[in-house]
Amino acid sequence: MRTDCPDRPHFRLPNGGEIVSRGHLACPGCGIMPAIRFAMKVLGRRTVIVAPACCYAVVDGPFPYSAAGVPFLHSAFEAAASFASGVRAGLDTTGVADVTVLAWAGDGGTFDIGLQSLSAAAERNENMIYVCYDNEAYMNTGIQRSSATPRGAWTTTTPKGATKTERKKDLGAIMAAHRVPYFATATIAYLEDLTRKFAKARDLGGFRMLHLYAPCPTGWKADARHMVELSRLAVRTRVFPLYEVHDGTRFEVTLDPETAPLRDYLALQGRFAEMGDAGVAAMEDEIRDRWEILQRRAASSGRA
Amino acid sequence: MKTEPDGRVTFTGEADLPPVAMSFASTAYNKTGSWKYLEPYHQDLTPPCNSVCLAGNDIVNVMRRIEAGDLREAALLLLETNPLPSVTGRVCPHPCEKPCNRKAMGGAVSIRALERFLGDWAAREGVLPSPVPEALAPGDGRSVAVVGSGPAGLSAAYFLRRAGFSPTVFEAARETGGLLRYGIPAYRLPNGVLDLEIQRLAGIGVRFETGVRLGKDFYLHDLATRHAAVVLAFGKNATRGLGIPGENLKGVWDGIDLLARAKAGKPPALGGEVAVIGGGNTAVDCARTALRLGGKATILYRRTRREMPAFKEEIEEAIEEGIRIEYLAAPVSLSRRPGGGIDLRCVRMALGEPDESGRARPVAVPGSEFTVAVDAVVKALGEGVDLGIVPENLRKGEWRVSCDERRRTPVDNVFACGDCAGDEGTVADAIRAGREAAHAVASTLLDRPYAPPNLTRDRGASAEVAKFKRFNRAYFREEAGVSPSHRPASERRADFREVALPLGEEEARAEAARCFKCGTCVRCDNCHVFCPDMAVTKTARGYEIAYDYCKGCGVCVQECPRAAIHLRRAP
Ligand SMILES: Cc1cc2nc3c(=O)[nH]c(=O)nc-3n(C[C@H](O)[C@H](O)[C@H](O)COP(=O)(O)OP(=O)(O)OC[C@H]3O[C@@H](n4cnc5c(N)ncnc54)[C@H](O)[C@@H]3O)c2cc1C
Ligand SMILES: Cc1ncc(C[n+]2csc(CCOP(=O)(O)OP(=O)(O)O)c2C)c(N)n1
Ligand SMILES: [Mg+2]
Repeated sequence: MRTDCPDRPHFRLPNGGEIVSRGHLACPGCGIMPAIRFAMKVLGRRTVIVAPACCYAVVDGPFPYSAAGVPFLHSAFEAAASFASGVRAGLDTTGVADVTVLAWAGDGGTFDIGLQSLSAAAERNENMIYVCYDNEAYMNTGIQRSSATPRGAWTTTTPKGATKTERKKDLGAIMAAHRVPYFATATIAYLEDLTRKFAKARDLGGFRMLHLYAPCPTGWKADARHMVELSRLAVRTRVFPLYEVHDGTRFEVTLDPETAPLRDYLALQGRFAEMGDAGVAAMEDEIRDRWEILQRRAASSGRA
Repeated sequence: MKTEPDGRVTFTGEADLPPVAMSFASTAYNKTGSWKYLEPYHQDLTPPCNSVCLAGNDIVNVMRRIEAGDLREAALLLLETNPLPSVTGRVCPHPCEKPCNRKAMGGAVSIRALERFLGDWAAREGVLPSPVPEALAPGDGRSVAVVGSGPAGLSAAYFLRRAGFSPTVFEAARETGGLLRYGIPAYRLPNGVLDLEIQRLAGIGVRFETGVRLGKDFYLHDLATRHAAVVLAFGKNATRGLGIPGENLKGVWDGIDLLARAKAGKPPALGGEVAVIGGGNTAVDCARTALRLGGKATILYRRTRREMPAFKEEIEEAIEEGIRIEYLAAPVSLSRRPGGGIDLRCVRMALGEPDESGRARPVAVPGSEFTVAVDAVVKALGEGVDLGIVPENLRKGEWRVSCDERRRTPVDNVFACGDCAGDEGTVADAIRAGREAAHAVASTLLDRPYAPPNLTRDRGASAEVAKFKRFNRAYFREEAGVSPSHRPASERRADFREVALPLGEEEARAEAARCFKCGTCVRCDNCHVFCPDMAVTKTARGYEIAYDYCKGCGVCVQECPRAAIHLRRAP
């Protein structure tokens, strides 16, 4: 496990050409874009993307335009994993073996409405990479809460005076329980870690999943320029620990940089403006609790 | 179906539509740059160290090369501005370290120690500045006379030679170097170090004539007729007296004279108790020299520690070595003491109203006289300029040669620099002054605009100084420095060997790595990799921003570790 926070978070990045193109419709400072850009650099042009309804499905461009640079298929909101399973089956049937099927879905489409198709595909160990880019709400339709929205956050459905009271769903535990070959968390501030995980996923078979933390300045009421800063602080505050799970049993924390106070992270986001001291303390407890569980899982995997 | 030159697609009929609604054209036609109201731009700022370096060294880029282990490149860059890095690496009061942004995270970078390391390396390796003089044409080998071989004269000659002139340095003393050889003591600057640097000058074709004195062996007029131009750099060539009874008694020494004898290895026997009068570098160096000659040294200064003009570091080291400083005391008279020695009669001073220099004026306290019995007295009161050696129209007041900001004296093709021309009184400033004089000569003789080089500016950095509060701290960690070590006071007070110890190469590289490279793009690629709009591309020279696509989010500005990217209103 690396504990440092290198000056160059990306000093050994894939240096192939760009696949994702400019002109996409993402908001200024969108946290999805560096992620998909570098994911595609790792996965290469022999990739098919399946995206359910979500921000990225929109920002990728209106027909006949697409920023993804590879075949890009739109699925129903709840169906990314089943749609991708179908694409895989089609490729296999026609004898195309060298194409990676990549499902690229938001947190709403993964934690909530798409969970059943996701669970089914994971259970069948479908040969695909499923990416959930997590911006912690339904951003595309106007910032509604999802089960990935953290406790204490403002959204349009958990408005002022009634911010979210439920904790964020533990996606990693759910996927580990499916015993999928590979599950990892990653985020753009640590691009080297992110691309390494994409490369690992690419080189394994079966159902592989990445949970990407993707700051949304628009939906989080943050300054667009803080996109990477938020990504970094999420890791440094352990709001979003970087770890991976092999075969659902072997947990490993991959990077644990110097910690930062939670308040530094919260202060950059208007969505937490209403969170009082008690709220911050509760969130700190929750973070500690989750971190300890992760540490225990890693320890019992014999690779803390 | 039609595809426009910008990549836009128009369908002309149903038959154009693909069998499934799958996109096939790039979004690049869509110029998202129109969304922005702010736009980023790359612009290096001036690092705080560079902003105060009198010699004008490109410190940050020297650090980058040391860190990378490119010592030759580092040395060549340093030699662009500083002909005497081994000297300044030892005696410069290093104002560069004071505003160092590293200070808050483990202490300022030891820039001076690194300069010494690099200067010594370059001297050992015999590195000559590039391009080699043979390749120079502009000055056409025209002869220029330089009077005085202190740092100002050496610097003028070096830069004249590099501009294609043939400088000859005329020096009154037997050896070259000025105060570097005859003033600054060996425990701070050994002669061997100076010799190697002067060899480098000889190596590029600077000629020296020693033992010849302006005003005695030749006159300004002679030089002016025999050379295309003359640069006066004869320093402070006169000593000042105390103006009190008994100052010429046996056992009373002039400070500079004492230092010169000690440096030449022929120190006088001073005796046990030595009183040094003064508060500048000369006083401190005289006291430390007397101590090394076996005496007990006390400095008498008429003001307090706060007003002492000597470098703070020197004062601290002197006190460490056991030198006493008697503040608020001034000599009144000296007399022979029956049975040997000198009675030094002093008076207590008190600080009054500030004088022209802004320092509190010392005033004698009536009736407070006291006498100290000493074996020797050293007069270290600062030096003056004897203007008798130059024509009257070159004299400005009592103490300096008259010259304008372009170093021109009232006489055509005669220039002046260094201590004799009223420069700041440090080696680094003398180096800058010499470089300016060389440029003034070149601009006058070659009829070119006068533009002395400014490496920071010439590199394209703006004059704005890079401030730590604009840095992204996530990229920097607290790291303690390798503060250059000194020999213990008890050991060093007994000899003239160097006080400060050198850095090793590993240490030097680690220390250079601590430098933040403030305001300087080091091609870290953050702006390129984090741009959500892929609008920052790498070029051979750095980065280019595609304003057609940049949405002005500011991520690149935020993620630039060292404030080399900025935001401005979009047009
Ligand atoms: C004791 C002492 C310690 C110092 N310590 C430091 C220090 O640690 N750091 C620092 O930055 N500065 C220090 N200084 C100041 C620094 O040495 C001077 O500012 C600097 O040397 C000035 O350079 P210069 O070339 O103008 O003059 P000088 O170094 O004085 O050189 C002038 C040269 O001209 C020659 N000359 C004089 N008259 C004639 C003539 N008529 N004909 C031909 N040649 C002539 C002299 O012999 C001499 O070689 C110190 C000064 C002293 C006195
Ligand atoms: C069945 C169904 N319900 C609702 C919608 C409307 N809808 C489209 S995208 C979206 C939210 C997507 O949220 P998320 O998956 O988190 O992606 P994000 O937009 O945040 O990137 C919703 C509710 C839909 N397309 N289909
Ligand atoms: Mg979402």
